[in-house]
Amino acid sequence: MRARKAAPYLLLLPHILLSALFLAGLAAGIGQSLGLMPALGLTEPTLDYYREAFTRPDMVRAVLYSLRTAAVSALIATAAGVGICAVLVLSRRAHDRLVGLVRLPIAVPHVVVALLTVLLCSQNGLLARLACLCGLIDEQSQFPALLYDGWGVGVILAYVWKETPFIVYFVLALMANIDGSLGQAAVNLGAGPWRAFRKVTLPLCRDTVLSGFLIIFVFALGAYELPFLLGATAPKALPVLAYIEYVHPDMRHRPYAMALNGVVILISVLSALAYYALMCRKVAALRERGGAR
Amino acid sequence: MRRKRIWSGALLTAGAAVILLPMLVMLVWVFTERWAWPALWPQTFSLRAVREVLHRTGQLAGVLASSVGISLAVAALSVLIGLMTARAIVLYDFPGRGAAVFFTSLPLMVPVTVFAMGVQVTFIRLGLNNTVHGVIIAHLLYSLPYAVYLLTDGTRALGVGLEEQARVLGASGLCAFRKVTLPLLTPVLLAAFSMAYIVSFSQYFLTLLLGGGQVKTFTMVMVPYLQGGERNIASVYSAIFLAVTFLLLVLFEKLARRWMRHGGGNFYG
Amino acid sequence: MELSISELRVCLQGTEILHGVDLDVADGEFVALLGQSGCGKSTLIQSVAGLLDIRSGEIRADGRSLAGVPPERRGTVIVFQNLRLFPHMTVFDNIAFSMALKKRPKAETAQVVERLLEDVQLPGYGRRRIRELSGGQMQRVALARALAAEPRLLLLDEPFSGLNEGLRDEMGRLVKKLHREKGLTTVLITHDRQEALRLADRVALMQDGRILQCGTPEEIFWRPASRAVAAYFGKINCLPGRAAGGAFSCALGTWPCPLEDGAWTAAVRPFDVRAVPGGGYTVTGIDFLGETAELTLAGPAGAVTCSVTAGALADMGLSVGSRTGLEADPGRAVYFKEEGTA
Repeated sequence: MRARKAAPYLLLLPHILLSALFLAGLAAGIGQSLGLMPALGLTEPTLDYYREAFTRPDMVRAVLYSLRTAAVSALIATAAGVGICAVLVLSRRAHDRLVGLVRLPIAVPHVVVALLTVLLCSQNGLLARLACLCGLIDEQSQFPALLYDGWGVGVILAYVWKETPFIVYFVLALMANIDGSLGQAAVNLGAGPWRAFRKVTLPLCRDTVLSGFLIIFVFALGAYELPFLLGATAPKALPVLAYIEYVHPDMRHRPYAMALNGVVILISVLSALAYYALMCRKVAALRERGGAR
Repeated sequence: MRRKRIWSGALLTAGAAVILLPMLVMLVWVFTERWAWPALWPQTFSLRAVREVLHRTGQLAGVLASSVGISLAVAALSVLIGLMTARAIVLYDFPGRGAAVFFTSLPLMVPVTVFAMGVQVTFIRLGLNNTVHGVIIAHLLYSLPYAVYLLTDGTRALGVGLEEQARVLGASGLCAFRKVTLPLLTPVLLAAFSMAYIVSFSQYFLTLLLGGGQVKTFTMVMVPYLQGGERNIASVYSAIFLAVTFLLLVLFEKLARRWMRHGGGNFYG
Repeated sequence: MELSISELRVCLQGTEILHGVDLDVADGEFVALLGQSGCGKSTLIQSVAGLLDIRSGEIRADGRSLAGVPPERRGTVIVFQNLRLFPHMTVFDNIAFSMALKKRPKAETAQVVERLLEDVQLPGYGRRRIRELSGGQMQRVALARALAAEPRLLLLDEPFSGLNEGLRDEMGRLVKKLHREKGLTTVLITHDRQEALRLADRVALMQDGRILQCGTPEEIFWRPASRAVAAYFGKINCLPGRAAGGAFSCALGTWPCPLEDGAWTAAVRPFDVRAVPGGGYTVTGIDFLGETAELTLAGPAGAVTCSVTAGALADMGLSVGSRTGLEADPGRAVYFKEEGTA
C-alpha cells in the first residue's frame, strides 16, 4: 500500500471540513440542550431541560410514541426486506426486472409517500372503499382510523413501504454474492438450499442487515415529514414537538427543543456505537485485504 | 422445484402490486374531479388540477429548476468528495483511518431534525442560512454517506492494481486515474450519483429550516397542498416531479449500461 | 539499463519485508529472482519500479539514484502475475497505451503494435477484447504491452505461473528470444528453479527478504554458498563427517579433499550417489518418476536418496527390501563447515 504521508489527508480534506460543520451543529445542539445559550445570557450548564423532558407528560408521550413507531417500522421493514432478499436469492431472481421494481420506492420522497398513504389508508381512501365494497363496513367512520391516530399506524405503514426496499437495496447484492459462492458450497456439502441459506448466507449477512436496521431506525426516530403529515395532534412525535418548541416565538423555549433532540441524540449515539462496532469489523476486513501484497 | 418457483413468483408479484398500486392511485388522482364515497373509480375526470399547476408555469419551472438544480449539484459534489474520501480510506493506511470511516457514516446515525436545529446558529453565523448554497451543503452532508458507501465498495473491488500497471507503463498518477480507474468506475459513480440525487431530492426538513422558505424545492411546494387536503393538486406535483426523477434515473442507468457494454471509452479513436 | 540495489529495506504495514538486499544487474543481462512465495521477490521489484516506498538503502539506475523518481519516469515496466490488462480496452489499445501517452503518431503506433503482435505470435488480434482471450493469449498481450513501453528494465513477476507446462515453456522461450533480439535488461521472478536455470544469465536466490546467493546457473547449482541454497535446487544428501590431513571421511568412505581440519558436512545430490554391488544399505522405498526413479536407502549414513535413470533401475533389479552397497562421487560433493563443533 502506498504510504505517501500527506496524500490521504489531502483527499479527505473536503470531507473533514464537512465533518467539522456537522460536528459544530451537533455540539451546538447538545450545548443548547444543556441550557447554554450565550445570546440569551444563559451560560450555566443545567440538566433541567432534560429533567422536564422526562417529566412533562406530552414530552414523555412523544418519546414513547417516536420510539415505538421507529422500532416497529424498522423491525417490520428489516424482516420484510430480508424476506424479499431471501425469496429473490433462493429463487435465483436476484437479477430480475423485479429487483428494479422493488427498488422503486427508494426514489419516492417521504412527502409523496405521505400523499400515497393518505390516498390509500384514510377513511375515504381506496382501502376503505374496498372494505365497503366487500361489505365489511358501510360508513367511512367505521373504517379504522389509520391516520392521525395515537398509535401511528399510518406512519408505520408509510415507513414500511418506503424502507423495506432500502433494506433490499442494502442487503441484496451481498446476499446474492455470498449465496452464489459459499451457499453453493454448502449445498454441495449436502445442506438443502434453505438450510444452507439459514446456516451460511444469513449469518454472513448479519452485520449488514443490522447496519441497515440501525440506519432506518434512527431515520424514523428523527424524521419529521411522515409524523408531521400523518400523525395525530397528540401524542406528537419527538421531532415534531421539538420543532414546535424550536420555532416558538419565545426563545427561552429553544432549550426544550434541544433537550428533546438530546433524547434523540442519546438513542442515536447508542445506535451509532453499535453501527461503529459493525463498521470496525469492516475496516479490519479492509486491512486484511490491503495487506495481501 | 417448479411449484416453488410459482410460489416465489406469486409472492414477488404481490410485493410488486403493493409497490405499484399506490402510485397508480396517485396517477388516477391527477385527473380526478369528483370521486365520491364509496365508489372505486372516480365519477368525473378533468384536467383542472393539471391546468392549475401548469398555469403557474413560472412557479413550476422555477421550482423544477431549483429543485433539480440543487439535487444535481448535491449529487455531483457527493460523487466528487465521496470518491476522494473512498480512495483515501481504501487505498491508504494512515493514522486516523478508523475515525475517517466513522465520520463518513455519522450522518446516517444523526437524524436531520437534530442536526438542522443544532446547526442553524452556525449557518446564520456563516451566512449560509436561507441561501441555496447553504441548502446544498446541508443536503450534501446527508447524501455523502450513501455515496461514500457505494464508492468505497467500488474502489475496493477495483483495487489499485490496474492503476499501478498504468503508472509503470508511463502514466502519471492523475493520468492513470483518468484513463483506467475513472472509466472502470463509471457504473459505480453513476449509482452513487443517483443515490445522492434521490436523497437530496427527498429532503424536506433541512430545506424547510435552513432554506427558511427562501429556497423553494419540490417538497416545499408540495406539502402545503397536502396539508390543505388538495389531493389532486398534490398528486399533479408529485407525478411531475417523480416523472422527472425517474427520467433522470433511467438516463443515468442507460448511460451506465452503455458505458459497460462498450467497455468504457475508447481513448484513441 | 544497469541496475544496482544496495542495502535495501522495505516495510509493508509496519513489517519489514526486505532486510537489506544487495543486487546488481548489468546492462542487457537476464537475471532470475528465484524464491518461494512470500520471500519478498515481488516487493523487491515493486520497489525498483517505484510502486513502494523504501525505508532505507538505495536503488540506482545507470549510476543515478532513483529516490523520488515517480514510477512513470523510471522506465521500469512490470508484467504482473495477474497481468492487469485493462478490461475496458481492446488488445490494440492495451498495447498502444504507453505510446498514446507519449503522443506518438497514429500510423507509427499502428505499425509498432502490429509488429509486437507478430513478435508475440498474435498477428491480427488487435481488435479483440480482453475478455475474449485465453490465458496464454492474455499473457502475450501483457508482454507486448510492456515491450511497447520501451522499457529500460523489464520486470516479469511470475507472468507464466498460471499456464500449463507446454505454454510455460513456449512463453519462456519467447521471452528469452525477445531478450536476445532486443538486448533488454530483464529481471524474471519465479519460484520454478528449472525456469530460472534455463532462462537466466544469472540467478539470485531469495529467502525471507534476503538474497542468499547470486551467480550463474552453473555456479549456483554446483557451488551453493549455503545448505539452504543447495536444498533449493533439489534434494541433497547431507553426510556429516570430519576432515583431517587433507582427507574427508564420512559414512560413505574417505577421499582426499583439501579442507581445513574439523567437522564438515558433505552435501551430495541424489544423482551423484550410486548403488553398487555390496550389502551395507537396504532399499526402503522406490519412487518411480518415469524417466528417472528415486531410491531411498537406509544404512550407516542414515537415510540416503539416490536417483537413477529408469533404465538403470531395471538393470539393477532392485526392489524394496533389497540389500545394496553405496558410493558417492567425491568430485561433485559440496562441503559446509559445521559451526561450533570443530
